[in-house]
Amino acid sequence: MSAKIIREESQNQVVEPVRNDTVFAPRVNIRETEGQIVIEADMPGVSESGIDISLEKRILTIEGLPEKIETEGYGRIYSEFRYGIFRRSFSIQADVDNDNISASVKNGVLTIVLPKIVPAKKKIVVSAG
Amino acid sequence: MWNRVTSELLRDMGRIQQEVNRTLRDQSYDGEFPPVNVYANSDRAVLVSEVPGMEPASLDVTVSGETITIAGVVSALQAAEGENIHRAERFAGKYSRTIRLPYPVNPEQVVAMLKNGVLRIELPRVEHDKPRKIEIKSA
Repeated sequence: MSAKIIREESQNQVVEPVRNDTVFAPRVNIRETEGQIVIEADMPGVSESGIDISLEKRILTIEGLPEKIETEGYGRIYSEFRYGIFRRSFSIQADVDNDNISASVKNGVLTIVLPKIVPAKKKIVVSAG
Repeated sequence: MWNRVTSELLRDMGRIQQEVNRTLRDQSYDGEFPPVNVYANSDRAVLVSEVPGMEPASLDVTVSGETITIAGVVSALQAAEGENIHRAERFAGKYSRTIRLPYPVNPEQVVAMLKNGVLRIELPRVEHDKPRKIEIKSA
């Protein structure tokens, strides 16, 4: 059941960015407990000011714009990674307390904590009679 | 019977391939961790590597002649009590990358900086290896 709580949205998004940058899906770790969902996303080169997070109709979208690497005066002689925007969307299939979502960036890793609304347990007293 | 086995095997392989494609699509690199870019001019080389989540103390950088090695360990993700792990795509484990530079560098003058999960290493070329302009005398 818990595996269904987070479903990934199709990348064929109708919304298109104005900037003509390549878009990459950041690698993520997602953990969940009874009380919260924690998403950690690799966004190397991204500082706090480059992060954009939105949650709309249960779709969580994370976006990160990395700082450009300063290479003026150098020629590129070997290349394994490319520059681009990080973006990925998830469908959150749990009731989340929207007002208490927290996010932080450290060493190029974005961490989002989504507290779940846990229904209060009501004790129903059955009286005889 | 073998035909059936083969077709089932092919179907399974197709499914695995699909799964791999789904996981790895559209990522900024798809080779070994951590990915490395090297830039250079005639005086110095610059190595840039994406190492999200690394602290300076967890990175080991060694330079020798014209090779540089970046190594370290990332502890594996482990589920705490009552915790479910839905995705574990971020790198975990031991890593070591050795890169050959375009020329020997002076290890005494190498400077490495870590910012927002991006490692940048400045590698000045050894003096005696630098190209020299030869003056031509008129006879």
